[in-house]
Parts: sequence; structure tokens; C-alpha cells
Amino acid sequence: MMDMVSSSEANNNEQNARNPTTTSSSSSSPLPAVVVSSSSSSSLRGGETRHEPRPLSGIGGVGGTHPGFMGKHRMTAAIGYLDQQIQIIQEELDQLDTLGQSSVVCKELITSIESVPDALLPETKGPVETGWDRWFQGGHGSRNRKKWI
Amino acid sequence: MSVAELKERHLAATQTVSALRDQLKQKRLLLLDTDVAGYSRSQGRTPVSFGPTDLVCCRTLQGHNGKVYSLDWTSEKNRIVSASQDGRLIVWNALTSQKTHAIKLPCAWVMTCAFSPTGQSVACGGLDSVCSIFNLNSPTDRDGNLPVSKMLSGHKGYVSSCQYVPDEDAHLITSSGDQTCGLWDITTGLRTSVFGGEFQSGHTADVLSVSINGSNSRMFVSGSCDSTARLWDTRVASRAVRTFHGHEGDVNAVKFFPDGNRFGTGSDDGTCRLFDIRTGHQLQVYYQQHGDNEVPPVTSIAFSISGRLLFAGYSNGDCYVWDTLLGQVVLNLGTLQNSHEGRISCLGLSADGSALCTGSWDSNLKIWAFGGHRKVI
Repeated sequence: MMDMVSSSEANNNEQNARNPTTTSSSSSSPLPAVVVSSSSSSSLRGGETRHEPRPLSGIGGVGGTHPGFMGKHRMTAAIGYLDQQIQIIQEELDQLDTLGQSSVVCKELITSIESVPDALLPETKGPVETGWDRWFQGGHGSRNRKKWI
Repeated sequence: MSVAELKERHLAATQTVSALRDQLKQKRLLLLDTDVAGYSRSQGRTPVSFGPTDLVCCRTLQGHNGKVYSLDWTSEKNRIVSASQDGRLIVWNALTSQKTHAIKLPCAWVMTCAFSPTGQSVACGGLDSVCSIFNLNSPTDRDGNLPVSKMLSGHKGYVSSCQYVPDEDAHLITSSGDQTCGLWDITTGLRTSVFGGEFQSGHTADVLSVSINGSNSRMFVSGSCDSTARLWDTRVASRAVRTFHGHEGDVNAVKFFPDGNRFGTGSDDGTCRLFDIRTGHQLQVYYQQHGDNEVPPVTSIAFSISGRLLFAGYSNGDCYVWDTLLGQVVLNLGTLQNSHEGRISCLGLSADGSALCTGSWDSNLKIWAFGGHRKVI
């Protein structure tokens, strides 16, 4: 959040408002020429790169007729956003008073897992579906089935 | 108010948020009396034990000429769509290994693909910031290419992930480098809702992944470069239902747990995590050293149909099979015979849970199934 605010403070020019945070890590690599997106954070996924950090501009803003005014406007909006976050976190804190401990959830999880037949497990609840073994049948419609114990 | 006063208010609010966040973190820690592994051990559960030839690669799907970035199964049993760096989507019958469609994309920089619930259409998206829909039953054009039947435009950044809303071919959810997710009506081509966005309570960096709840299709989770996962209700676009903190790097992959009450994540920090959606608890961290002190990022995850197994692909080519209850790695598909020769970039389970498909930067897809002796309890 602080990253977003500081970069929006810094971005008082007429560029795209979207600013990536700097949480990701990857080395940069050249972007393909066909990129058409106006977002600053376009990059190839798949680990080649995440995004390139935007250049920061001064707090007072660059360009524009009234740089001070633009700063105030954005800052007010940023404060509004922070106030919203405060409200959301406070609500979550209050909710926690009524929440159970994780052990209750863990118990549910075990029950949920053990109630479903699973073709990929060496030991599983039944029933076994006839189609599970189709990956090992020679031709289509071959009936070379395994025996179950 | 003067700029100086505003700055003061801003600073105060920032500090309050930070303090409250810490308080929340501490309060949550107090409620975590156990993790899943601790609890399961206390209940006498033992790790899943695979024999050396239990999980085997039973098909290799060859045909792409570049890295495979994404794959998706149909809701009925055997077909897969895959997307590659070669600028093509291929539709496969995984059982016969045959290719039924090879779709040359108008924009080669594809990152994601999805099969529609009826299996009649496929969707893809990428650096063109658009999600394109292809109807597989359409006649091809003069050049033998399948025409785009709809283009969903509106994102201001790359489309990183897309998924059709289950049980209907008419809606789809996307995630984007513009920090938002979108819900689209494919019939009209219009975006019904934008989740997040400037000064909304959404992600604050690129969104990399989405997963729709199979038990309640109004809920979906998203994972982002801001290190969080967020839970959304499609009826409330202005703010996330809940934000899940914990990861220390980009959340590359999110996947709902089969029962719909939990979801898993995979991250650049090398861990997978399991979160509970109703309480917000982080139930388990799945982390194991890979050797040589490396901590490779998790690229993709999938749960087996019961949720007992968590498959996680890593950037170094490993594909760990985690026992979700015991928090232990029980197999590494990356070191098995016949395994991929490169990073595993995507994973997906068939609809009946009988097979796992992995897609890799080696340009192949592989199908894995259980070929050993199965004990039915």
C-alpha cells in the first residue's frame, strides 16, 4: 500500500495512473515489439520478467499548469483510500473475535479430503470409477482391466 | 487544507494502517493453534506413500514449437487446450494424443487459455490485453484459420489468466497486468464488472492468476505481484471480500480447493500455502529446500480431486507432489522417468481426477496417471 501511495504521489504527471509496486523480482528483458497495452507493467509472464519499475517524478509533479493542485487532489484521494483500508482492517479485527481456531478448520479439512474417491491415490475411498484406468488401456474399448482388492 | 496538512494526515493514516495490520497479524497468529500438518499427525494420519511406478507419464503430447504457457481440460473427460509461445492454441484429445485443432492466434504473445464448460469454445489472452474467443465448430477461413468469434477488450494491461464461469459458456473471468480482474459477458462482448482498479480496494500490482470456486461460482480468488491473494464476490466489485497476506513474493498461481472452502497459492517466494476462505486463516505452508540452497519460484499448482495431493510446478523443472495433510513432499514428477526437460509452467487435473496434465517450456505436454496397485478403503 505504501508503495502505491508513494508512487501515486510521485506520478503527478499526465501518465497512466497504474503503477506497479516493487514487490516482484526478476531481471528485465526486452519486450516484444507488438506490445500494444498502455499499461506500464506489460511484460511476458512465465518468469522471464515481471515488470519494469516506473521512473519516479518529484512530489510536486511535473508538467501541468497547477502542480500543487494536482498534488493535493491525488493526496486527498490517497488519504480516502487509506481511510477505507483502515475501516476494512478494523472490521476484520472485530470479526476475529467470533472466529474459531485453526484446529476446527483442520478437522473439517480432513473430513472433506477423506470423503472423496481419488484416482491418483494409492489408497482411496471407493467407489472406483471404471474410466479411471482408461489411460492404460491399449486400444479404445480394450477391456484389460486391473483387479481391485 | 494545505499540502503540508494533507501530508501529515496521509502519514498518520499510513502509520495507522501499518499498526492495524500488525495487530491483525498478531491476533491471527493467536488463533492458529495448529497447522494442518500438526493436526493431521495428531490424528494419526501418515503420509501418502507412492511406489516407484505408481504415478507414471502415460502420454506425451508433442506438437508445439515453443514453450507451453497454459493448459486447460474440458469439463467432460479427455480434451485439453494448450497455449504456446509459438503463437498457437492446440486442442488435443489426451486419450488418443490426437490434435483436433491448431489455432493460429492473431496476437502471438499468448499467456493463458481456457476451455468453455460445454467444450465448444476456447478463450485465450496475452500481451494484446484482449481475451479472444474461438468457436471450435466455426468453419475456417480461406487460409485455414479459425476466426476469432469474439474479442473482449477493456483491460489496460496484459491478460494473464482467464477462466470460464462453470456451467455456462456465456461468462468468463480474467486477470490482468492492469491490476484488475474482469467479469465478461461473452454474448455481448462487454465487461460486466471490474474488480479492483485505482483506489478501489483491489490489488496494487499486476494480477497473475484467477480461480473460480467450483462449489459457488460467485466467488473467485486472484493472486498478484502485490504478494496477496484476494477473494471476490462477483456481485461486489468495489472491494475484495478478504485479502490474504503471508507470501513474500508474487503470487503466481491460485487454485480453489475441491470443497470450495479453501484455496491454494503458489509464489515466487518458493512456497505454496493453503488458506481458509471463511476464517481467513493461513492453514499450512508448503516449503521444502530443493537442494543447493535454491528456492525456485512456484509457477503453477493443482489439487487432486479429493484435495489430498497438491501438485506444484517450480521454475527449476521440479514438480513436487505434496501430501496436503502432512505437509510433506511425497513424490517429484520432475525426476521421474520420462519427465519434462524444462520448467513446468502449467498444470491441470482432468475433470474426473484420473489424470494430471503438465505443460512445460520444453514445448511438450505430459499426462500422468496412477498405474499402480490401488487399495480401496
